[in-house]
Amino acid sequence: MPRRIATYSVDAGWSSLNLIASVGGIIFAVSQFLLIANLVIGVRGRIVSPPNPWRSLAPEWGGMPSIQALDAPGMPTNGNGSSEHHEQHLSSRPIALTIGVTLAMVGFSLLELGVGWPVIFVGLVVIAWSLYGWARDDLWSKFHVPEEEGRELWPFSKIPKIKLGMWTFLAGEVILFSGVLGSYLFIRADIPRWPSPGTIHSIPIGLTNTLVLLTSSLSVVLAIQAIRAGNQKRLLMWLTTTFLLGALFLGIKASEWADLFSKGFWFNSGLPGSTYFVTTGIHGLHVTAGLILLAYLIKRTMNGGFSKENNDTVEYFGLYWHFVDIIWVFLFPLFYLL
Amino acid sequence: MNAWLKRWLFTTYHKDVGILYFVTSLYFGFIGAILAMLMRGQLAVPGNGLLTDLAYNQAVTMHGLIMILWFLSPLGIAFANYFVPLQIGAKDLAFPRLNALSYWMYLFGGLLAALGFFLPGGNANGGWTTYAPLADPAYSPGPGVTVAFLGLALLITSVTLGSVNFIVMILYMRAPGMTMRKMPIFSWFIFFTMIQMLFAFPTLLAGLIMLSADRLLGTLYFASTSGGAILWDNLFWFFGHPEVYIVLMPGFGAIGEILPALAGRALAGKNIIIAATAGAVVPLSFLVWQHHMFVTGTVLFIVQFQTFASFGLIVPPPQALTSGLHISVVGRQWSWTFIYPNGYSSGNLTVPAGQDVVLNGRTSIARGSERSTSSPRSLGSTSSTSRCSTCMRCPGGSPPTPLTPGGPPST
Repeated sequence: MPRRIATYSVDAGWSSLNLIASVGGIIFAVSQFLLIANLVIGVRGRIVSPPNPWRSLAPEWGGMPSIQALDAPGMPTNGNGSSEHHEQHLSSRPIALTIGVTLAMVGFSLLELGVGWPVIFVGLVVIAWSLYGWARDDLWSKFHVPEEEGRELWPFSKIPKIKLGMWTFLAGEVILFSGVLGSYLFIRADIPRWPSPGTIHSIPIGLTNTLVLLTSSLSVVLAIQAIRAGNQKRLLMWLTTTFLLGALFLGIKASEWADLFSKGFWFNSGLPGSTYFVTTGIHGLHVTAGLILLAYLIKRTMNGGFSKENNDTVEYFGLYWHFVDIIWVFLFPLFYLL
Repeated sequence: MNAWLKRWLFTTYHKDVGILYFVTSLYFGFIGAILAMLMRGQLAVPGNGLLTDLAYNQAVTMHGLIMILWFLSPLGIAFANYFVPLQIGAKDLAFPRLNALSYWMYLFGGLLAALGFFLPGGNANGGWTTYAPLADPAYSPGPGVTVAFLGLALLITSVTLGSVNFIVMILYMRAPGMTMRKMPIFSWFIFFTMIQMLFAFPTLLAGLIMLSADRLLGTLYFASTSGGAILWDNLFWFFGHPEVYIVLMPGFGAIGEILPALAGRALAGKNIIIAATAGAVVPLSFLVWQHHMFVTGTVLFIVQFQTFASFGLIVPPPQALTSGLHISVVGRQWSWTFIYPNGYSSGNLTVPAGQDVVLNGRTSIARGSERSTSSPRSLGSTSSTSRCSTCMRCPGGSPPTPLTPGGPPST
């Protein structure tokens, strides 16, 4: 039975089989209530099983006595007791941020109905408020997860946790940009006639942007160097320089876009336009996200939050910023020089 | 706000987040099941009018998307959230607030996808593989479809953040004495799942970004005839193949824990199972996506390579896992006369390119390959309620006679 063909004629001879299948579907659906009933009865807890009823050797049952770090050996509890001492792990920021993003997405979908912009605006406000709250929580150390000593770290023994997290995240981002840039190459390989370099996008402006971004990467490195030597004022100076250069990059990009729009080169003017706007747009969004992070770092520096001993966060930001820079270094020749 | 509400809305504790994922995934499973019952109700008798064509297509599409992405995988993530920290001796995930963020994005992404039913134009209706250009605004107009795709993008963000969280936790927060070798098999399989998620989902996100740009900004990524449809095929299936392993592996890991526990014996061959999965499944899963596209006119060498890679991929794990489980449960090695057919038959039935071409793209893993010419086709019928715009199989755009057995003509 091919999918997405919503019905069939009696002559096809499929009637009895379909009817049997549908009855089977009903039986299957009814059987799922057994599962739900089982769950409900189990959760109510009237029938209590002993610890480790399966005599399992697995650590979550307490079967592997060499592991010392478990909170509650034996059967996992259902949370009635465990919630109290995890009070300090409550945070309203995740759900708030999600609600903001959801509203913005609903707004984007409603654009074609003409009611999108107010919803998008509300969504962006909620996003900004939740991110601000998240940053404040970090600034005032309201959400603190203590790191434990003596963990098994092979093969990453020399790398701090957040650095490993940042590298992993960047691996995912590499795949994202490979998809977007790869699509551009795929499309372009299929089209014999593409505008020659220099005709649509000005090479000198693109080169300027490249130099601006590369210099901003340099200023991040100098910022890290400064704080490693303990110099907070220098750190502030170089971070601010990075911010200004990043903002300059976005400004030049915006002027390029405005110029293209004024020449009648729009999103749907053809594939060169589509690919350019979407790729530089995604890259620009990443630069913007970097600038927001940078604003948090600058605020924290002004509060005296970094020192010779405590400056890893600046390096993690540096990793992200260098990544954004490298993407541009690929983007520039592919769009401007080819 | 009372304590119960505060606890469940603001928690970042892994056990609570695991419970949230579990309950929410059951709810989404329920919604998917309702869609399935609507489909079955529509098909129970010929010439039924329970659902219109468009509504039926929406049911098919959303049943697929919701069940795979909002029910199955999150169910695995629920168990992962609850048990992996316990299994490796960590206090919580690497980044607890990101973990909570992952959960809420998953839930709200699903709400957005469901919202699509209630907006003009209805929900996505081009199949769970959301093939472009069928998913482009020319053929699936309306905000309902757009909001479903944006909800999907939110889910992908949730999953990517979650994968970073789990990978860092498993690599970085194991208790003293818990070497990678000693790690229980469920945690190992979650580790593999997360690695595949990290590298597969961003490709779908790239595709969805371009599709959303097509829908919201009018760009021409998938609407043009230059690589448009095949571009989507490649992007989607580069995600789609690892996706099926992502859905599978938590289940494998769970079986590897449950059956030996019930049998009272340790899992035999655990190291070999892990080695086979790490060495064959995870790397090869990224090299075989073209086996979903065998009839799209791919170059022969690629077809050959991907067929062989698919064989190499599908044979070791069932053999290793079945052997190990049999030894654990029954106490002795399963006879080799049964092991080899078990492994090879699963490969033989699902992989060969030749079989796929003969059956016009309808074999089990080439399920999505419904294109049967060698060039990206130009688009035929524009009526969104006609059967033809949803099938898109006809060369030259001439439709088959509807309501007859046999379906669309072969090329």
